[in-house]
Amino acid sequence: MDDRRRVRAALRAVYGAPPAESIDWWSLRSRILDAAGLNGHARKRSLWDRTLWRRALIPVTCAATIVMALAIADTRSDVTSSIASSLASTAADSTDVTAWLRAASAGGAVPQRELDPLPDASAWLGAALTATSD
Amino acid sequence: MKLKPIATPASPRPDPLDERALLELVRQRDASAFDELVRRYLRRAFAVAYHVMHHREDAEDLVQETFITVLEQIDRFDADRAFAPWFFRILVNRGLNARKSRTVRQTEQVPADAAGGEGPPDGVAERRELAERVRAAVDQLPERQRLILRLSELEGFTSVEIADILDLSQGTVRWYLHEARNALRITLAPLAREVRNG
Repeated sequence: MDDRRRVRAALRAVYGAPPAESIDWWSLRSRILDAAGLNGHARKRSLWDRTLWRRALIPVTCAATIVMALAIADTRSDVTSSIASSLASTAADSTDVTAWLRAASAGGAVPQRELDPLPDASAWLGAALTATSD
Repeated sequence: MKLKPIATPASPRPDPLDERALLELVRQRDASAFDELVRRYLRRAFAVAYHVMHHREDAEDLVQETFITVLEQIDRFDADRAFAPWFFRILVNRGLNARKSRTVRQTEQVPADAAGGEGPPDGVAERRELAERVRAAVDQLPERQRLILRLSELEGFTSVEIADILDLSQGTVRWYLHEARNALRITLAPLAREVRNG
């Protein structure tokens, strides 16, 4: 064996790549094709990619949070006021109902002063009975 | 990155030897052309990657990253030039950068009798001694010189190709090779005499 071959053999003994039969070439090839976006798989994103996306999302998320907070606050005030007004009307209705019940149990009519006044009732009735030009 | 679905048999396929046409299809994001490119270069890419990374899993990762980089940068490749040097330049540069920037896995120890039929005919002990001497001699060489030696002696790259891959002049590569071989000859000389004297 000449020097050149001896050097090469020694190098292979120490630094030679693993034998080709010991490597799963099919899996390695599939891995590469998958990573390239083949077979419907997306390329695996690096941590750096993810970080950049997150950075871009920060202002958007902040803005969305503020808008949602304002919307929630607005909705709450609407709900509060509508509950308050419905409670008030319920109280008025219950006054009427109480008066009607009392009158019914007594066998008489409800006095007008105990009911809510209907000041425009006669005006509404007049308008309804008036014939229109068309 | 979206690739076109695998071409149907009716699609025009490049001549097996026509790498230029194959690369043009890869440039158009043709999936089966990319598959063919991977098929052609996979084994040699792994061998070179192993010489850079000194570890099987690191070498596999490097090969994968290199093919993805090739796909991403194929538009920048000059079609009038040879593909292989461009490909291996990407692979070697990425590998050397990875070695610099992070701790890679421990170098795998190849068994001393891995030389197979080309090793000295005598026993395992002698081969082990030979391996130790070679390792000692090669480890004293600078990283780049070691790589040049391995690419030349083990993978059969010419000094012109190595110069292109490592972006060095051919004279520098030849000089590095000459020095590295001399160092190994000196290291192995006593052992060679012992073998000759029986």
